[in-house]
Amino acid sequence: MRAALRRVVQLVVVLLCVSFFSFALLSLAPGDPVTAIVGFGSPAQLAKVRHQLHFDRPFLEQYWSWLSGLLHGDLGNQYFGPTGVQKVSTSIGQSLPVSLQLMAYAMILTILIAIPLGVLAAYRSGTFIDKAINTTAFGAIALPDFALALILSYWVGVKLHWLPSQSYVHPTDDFVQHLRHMVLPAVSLAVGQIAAYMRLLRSDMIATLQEDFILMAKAKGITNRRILWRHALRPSSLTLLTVAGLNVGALIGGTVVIEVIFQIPGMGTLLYTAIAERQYVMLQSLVVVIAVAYVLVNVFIDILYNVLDPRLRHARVIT
Amino acid sequence: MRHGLGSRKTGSAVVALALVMLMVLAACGSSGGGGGSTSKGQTGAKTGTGLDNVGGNGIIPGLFTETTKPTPGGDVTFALEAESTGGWCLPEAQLAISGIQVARAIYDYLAVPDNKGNYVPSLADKITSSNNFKTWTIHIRPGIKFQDGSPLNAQVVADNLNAYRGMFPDHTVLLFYFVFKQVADVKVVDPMTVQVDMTTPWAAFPAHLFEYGRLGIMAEAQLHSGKNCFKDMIGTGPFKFDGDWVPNDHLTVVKNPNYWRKDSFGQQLPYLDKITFKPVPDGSAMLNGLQSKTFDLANTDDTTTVIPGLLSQVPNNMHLAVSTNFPETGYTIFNTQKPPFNNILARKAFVQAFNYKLYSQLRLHNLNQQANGPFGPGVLGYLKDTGLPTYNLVAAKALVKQYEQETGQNFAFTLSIPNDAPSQASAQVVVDMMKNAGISVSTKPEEQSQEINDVIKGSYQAAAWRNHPGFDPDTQVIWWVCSTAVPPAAAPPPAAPSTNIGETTPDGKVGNNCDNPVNFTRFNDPVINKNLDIGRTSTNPTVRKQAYEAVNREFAKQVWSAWTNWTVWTVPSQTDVRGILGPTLPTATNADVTTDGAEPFTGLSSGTDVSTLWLMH
Repeated sequence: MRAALRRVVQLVVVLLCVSFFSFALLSLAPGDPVTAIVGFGSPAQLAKVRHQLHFDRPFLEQYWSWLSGLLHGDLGNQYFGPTGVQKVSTSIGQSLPVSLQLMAYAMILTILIAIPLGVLAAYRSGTFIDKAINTTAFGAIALPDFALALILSYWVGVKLHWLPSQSYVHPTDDFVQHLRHMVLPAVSLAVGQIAAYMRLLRSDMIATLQEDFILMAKAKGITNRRILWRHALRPSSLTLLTVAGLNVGALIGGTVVIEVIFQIPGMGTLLYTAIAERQYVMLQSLVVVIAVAYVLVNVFIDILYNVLDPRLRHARVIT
Repeated sequence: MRHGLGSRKTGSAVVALALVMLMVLAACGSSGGGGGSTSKGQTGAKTGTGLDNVGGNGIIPGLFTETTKPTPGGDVTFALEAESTGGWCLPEAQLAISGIQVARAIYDYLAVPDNKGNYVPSLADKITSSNNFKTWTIHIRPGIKFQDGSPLNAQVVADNLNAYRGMFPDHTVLLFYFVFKQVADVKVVDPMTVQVDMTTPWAAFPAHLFEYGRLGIMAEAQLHSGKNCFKDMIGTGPFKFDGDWVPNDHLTVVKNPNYWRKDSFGQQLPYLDKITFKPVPDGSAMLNGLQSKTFDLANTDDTTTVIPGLLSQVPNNMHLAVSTNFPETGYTIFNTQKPPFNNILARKAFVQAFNYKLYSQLRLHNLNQQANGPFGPGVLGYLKDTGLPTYNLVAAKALVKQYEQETGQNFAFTLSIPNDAPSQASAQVVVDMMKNAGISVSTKPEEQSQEINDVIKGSYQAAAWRNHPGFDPDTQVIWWVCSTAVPPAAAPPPAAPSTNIGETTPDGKVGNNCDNPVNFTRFNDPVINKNLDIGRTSTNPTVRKQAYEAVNREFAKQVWSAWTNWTVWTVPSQTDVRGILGPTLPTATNADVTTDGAEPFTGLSSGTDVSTLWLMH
């Protein structure tokens, strides 16, 4: 209970720091967000919008105003011209599920491909299969996801017409079309992750397969398949999990680029356009949502450690 | 004598060949052909741009009056070059072509341009003026309803016009304040008649009832929807907005079953059930989307990526409606309130150092025609030769030397440009050309809206710019006119040292003290002011033509801007898409498409009427 409470306090401090520093950085960004909203506005019109956005107040007051709104569930407003206003939460509500779908598909692909490949490469360590998998993985890691996205979009989408080269279809509109539209973006995001996860799992598995309990299992006549999947995989997954948590940031970063390339209306596209349009309130809120997601995923992974390896639950007591 | 709108139907004043619609033929298969073969000089040249060299047989099927009976139904995805981030509360919106294209699906206009550039009534069935053009009377076409079921009448039209001029509660009007500054009052005369009083004569007023597609008529419900006005779009147009707008992704409009117009076969317009508009700012993404058939059609003037990329697929796999008449103008805009471009020597040196032939070859695939003024082919005031200095490196070097001797300053400036890759590549070509003449240029790439804001504020020296779509030149007056007297040369205003601003004209000295905040160049030219006024107040086509030609020549003489190229607006489409240009225009008595209505405007710089789009199966 005490540990959980401490974790919550840590979370709050992290989020406060993230929000404060991102707010400070955005205030230093070049350009006037007010003139971006009211281009041809008179000085009075500019002053009115500046006041509505609290840009006429001192920095700390602006931050506090935004933060207190956030604590009351108000992420602020997005501006459409001098009078058009929409809640930022509405835009995030539209785009967050899209990004989560994309990340989920990428993760599913990663897990479905990286784990069997990692296990196979470890089991066949040093053989031709291992070398082939490793070499391919090196190539995949070296290939930036945006480059792969452009190649796939052009060749698979434009030249071969196998899959749509861009756009998004909501799953409730047409689930098959939804999946068809998500294949290329998900593959673009997943390829680098697959390679990284596969290599990590391979090295951990090779170490695990040297352990005494594996020898014991073999001596008991347990089949290789059972040893690999039941006995060796679980203890070999801890590093994988740690990296998965840390990789959420990379995944989010990759999503921004991939969504823009494939014209997917997710958080990445929203972030990109918020920067381009100088929608600072929107940008600030997006940064916080992403920071919260990042921290929560890592907390969740901490919890998973305990599930995967019960020894960790008592680690503190033992030491 | 009262002047009806029809009295200005004087086709002779405008170049008769209003549009070249080329069904651009792919040349011989994949090897030599298509757009890549522009240098091969095939027959069929019509416009003087690179596009005519790839041939063409004229009209896109279904462009004007249909000979095949269109089949209603189906839906299309229409790619646009940008999102309209401010939404569609029209009096406040700052719509570029993409926003106008969406607006044209949802809204109708009191008057619309025909294929000769004259304005004919649309939602109005008659528009008349007093003898002195200080009072205009708009008679509303009866029986039209908005998409929410409310009637179109004089009150809603008057409220719209008041909103546009900033006289309607809760609307913060921006650009239109300057456009309608001359309107003194808008009155409801009877349930179907509105009277507009002017402070000074305004003969060209009807052109502003279209305002290149920006002046749609909104329902009262939208006018009163306050902070939701930007997304509660309700018009009388062929399609209605069903609430499905995800900014930067898509906006969907569905068929308005009660639209007031029918086609020549008696069929209800529009034909399509649904249009999904998709903003696709990246040229490569638009090209890919068209090639992979993700998009059915698009609106683009991108001669660096999209159009050249498509040419080889026309006509077998792609159609391309091309408009080289009534174009917008691409140019470098100068700030004449700041050195070096407050000096005519600098402006002349710039244009003489700029090698358009090379630029066109390197950046535009030779697809655009070189511009020599703000009025392109088809536009009143267009001249084949305006007298603008042309490329001459020796002369440019001499002017640079003269400028540096006169001012004691090095000739150096910053060029503001959009931060997209094609713009930066184009700017690099300009930088190199200037360097050859001894001019030092640094570029300032910035997000497009920020570049626009810098120009509005005057925080720039020179900027890459595009404006002045080819409608009646009176619609461009707000960008150039000044009423401020030019101060005597001996006493320049301290904030704006005005040395050597330009060449003195018979009408007086030119200056850079313009009182009009949307004259971004800041010039104050008595010749331009006088002739813009003549063009505004006269209905005599010859007088207007001469006035705008004088404006054009004066622009060239003073080199107020460095005109680069006229845009080539196109609508690329899949081969089953028909009816790109819209129906024949309604007459005063008949809303249906009939043979006696004028043919629609053929320029594509403010989108197309989507009511006649249909899919041939």
